[in-house]
Amino acid sequence: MSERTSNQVDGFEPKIVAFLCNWCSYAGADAAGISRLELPPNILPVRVMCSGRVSIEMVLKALMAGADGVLVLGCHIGDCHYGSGNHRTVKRIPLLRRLMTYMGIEPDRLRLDWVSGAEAGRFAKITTEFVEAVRALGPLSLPLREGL
Amino acid sequence: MKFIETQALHAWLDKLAQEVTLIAPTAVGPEKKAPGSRNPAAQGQQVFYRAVSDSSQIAWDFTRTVISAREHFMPKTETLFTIETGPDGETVLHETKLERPRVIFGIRPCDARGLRVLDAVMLEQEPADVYYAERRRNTTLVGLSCPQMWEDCFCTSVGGAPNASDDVDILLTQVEGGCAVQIVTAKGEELATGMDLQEVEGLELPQPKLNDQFETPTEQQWLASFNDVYWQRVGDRCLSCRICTYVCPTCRCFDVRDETVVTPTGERIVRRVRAWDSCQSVNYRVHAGGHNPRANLEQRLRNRFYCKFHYVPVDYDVAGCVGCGRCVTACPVNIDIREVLQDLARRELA
Amino acid sequence: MIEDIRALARELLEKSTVECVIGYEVGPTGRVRPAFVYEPAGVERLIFDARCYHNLVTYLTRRNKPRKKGEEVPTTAVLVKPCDARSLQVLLNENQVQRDKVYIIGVACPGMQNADGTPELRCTRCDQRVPLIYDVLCGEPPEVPAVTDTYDDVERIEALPLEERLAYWLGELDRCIRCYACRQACPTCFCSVCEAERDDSLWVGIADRIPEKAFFHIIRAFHQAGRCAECNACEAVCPMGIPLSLINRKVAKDVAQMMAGYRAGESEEPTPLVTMLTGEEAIDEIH
Repeated sequence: MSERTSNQVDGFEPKIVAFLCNWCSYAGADAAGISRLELPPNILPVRVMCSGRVSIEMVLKALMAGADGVLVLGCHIGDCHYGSGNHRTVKRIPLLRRLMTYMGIEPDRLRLDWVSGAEAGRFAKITTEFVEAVRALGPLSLPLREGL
Repeated sequence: MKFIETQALHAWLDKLAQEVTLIAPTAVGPEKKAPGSRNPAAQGQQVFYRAVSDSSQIAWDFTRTVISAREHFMPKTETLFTIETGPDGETVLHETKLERPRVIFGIRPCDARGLRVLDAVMLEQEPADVYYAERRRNTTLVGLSCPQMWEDCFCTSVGGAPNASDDVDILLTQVEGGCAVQIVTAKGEELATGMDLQEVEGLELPQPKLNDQFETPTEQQWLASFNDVYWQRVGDRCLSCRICTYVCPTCRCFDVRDETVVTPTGERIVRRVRAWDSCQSVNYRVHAGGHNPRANLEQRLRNRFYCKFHYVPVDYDVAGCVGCGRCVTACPVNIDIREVLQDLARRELA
Repeated sequence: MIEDIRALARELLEKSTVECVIGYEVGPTGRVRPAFVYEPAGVERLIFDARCYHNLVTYLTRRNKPRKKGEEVPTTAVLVKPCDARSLQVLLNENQVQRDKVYIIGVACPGMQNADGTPELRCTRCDQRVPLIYDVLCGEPPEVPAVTDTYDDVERIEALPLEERLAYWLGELDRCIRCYACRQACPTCFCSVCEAERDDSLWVGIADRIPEKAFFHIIRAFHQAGRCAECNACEAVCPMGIPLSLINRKVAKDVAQMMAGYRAGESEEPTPLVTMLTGEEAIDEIH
């Protein structure tokens, strides 16, 4: 079993929305499942054709609608099925992270990483790490949640 | 003439704030000036009508608030009702109701006069708007006379006055040592029972200093100017920023949408939200099917003037503009309603 | 300078080189406002001084289509200060304005002033007194000492602890009334349907609550990444005095830092957010 942090006491289970690109990271997630690797149940996967498709509106909406963290996983640079889709992602997501931090949202709630179709173990590792990082932060600040 | 000393007025307001929701002009925003910004709003606090907990929060020397008191009768955002699933799986509907009766203290005569238009639109025909009606019924208006007409004000050109008592329940006029008090309605009489009033013989109300009055266009001039290129010329510099419609005491257009949201505790609820809309926004008049009769900016700009000075007077027999001047102050490109009115009034009709 | 501007405008209109000259005038109550001159006689209305803070480039995206079907796109002359010229360059880079349909009257900028005569803060950190793009330049560029924009206003917010930052922005956004004046005044915000104002409420609804407003401001600032010329039109027009330049400048600062010093409107390169990596960007922030 994965290690529990002290935040577990209050029973908070983070909800994570993970945008996975069809060709690499989604295949990697699939491979992790097939290999029976232990994956955190907190992840809600959303398949997109390319990580470059993930717009900032989608990230913000996910947070507003109830996610405590957003994970964006794409192909490694140079491996994008569409050539340069992940070139957009690699500029967009870090810039958004900086802006979110500036507005008062913890940077650790948004993570971008690269996972190829063969990297089942890497998928498991990144998702587990991210869930724990968000668990330590607690739920997203209430005024930002749209369901008030 | 009835009179109340300043101390007694403050004491009454403090007590009132415990019993009702007391809404009064109060400074809002950061106290520090934003250094060196062109934006006049960033130069210090602005005054709005907001709920206060005691009289020390009231901004006594205000001219007029940025947004009119209309926002308390038709809130910028209002949840009309929510629909949830109850504990036994049944559907439960909660209507939003006012928690306490309200007093709006310090409402200017022009703001109060603007409620005539809202009353006409929201209450005249069946079915009346129950949410508006409830707010109106449960609110007492204690007006504060303007000692002068402020820059950009033109209430006297549209049938109003800075010291008019027609539309409030009590009217206060600031004098030496306190306020002269005019009880106008039975509702005002009831509210005034808690006030420590004195009878003062020969107390004269100061006459407010007035701005120049000007002629407004006749109905024929409005009809004749509809297709004039004038609207294009004015519309050239309009940004469609809609600030004019948001600050106005008589603007009342709204949009209603149903939203499904998940609450922080995970329940799915539906809420019906009503929010301000503006005839200046591009899709305001778009029809089902996609046709937009006001696709051009000048058509939308023109509508604002026609709505206030032609449609509302013709449809409801009440003046659609109270001359508060807020839109004049607020417009970032100086589209001045007074200038437009005088330009049209000067036109020769064939 | 003003006589030069008027003479130039008169010539452009008399020769029908342009259909309209967009400049500044003083209204009947003494307020400076944008002016649209269609006749040579009207050029006497034009002025230019330190009160002329409006960015007139925002009007060009309305004039890039013919008024009636079958007609030509009209040619427009526009007065630009250096900051306005940067936003015009962005529009040209993005094909929102045709270069041969706009006649650029550059003005040497003395720096803008507030109503009380003090210099506008943004002008104290700018030494670009001559527009980077123009057809004709009017006025003598004033001598100003070289100054570097250190973005210390942004850094002051960055230095606050996270909880204080959140509290600060919640406080500022609370005043926002979603009038969209900032978007309307911005020359590079020209979408016909705004993401935050969709009739189907795809992203946000019509309510005036913090989540909707935070969403709008964050995505608007982000949509201006690498495109915002820092002309301050958004902050100048906000009726609630929200310090919007602090958000847009944060994004501009980060773009410059992360993407090889890129500044919007200073070249014919579009925003780096849409270009491919060429290896020089050291973007190592993905974790």
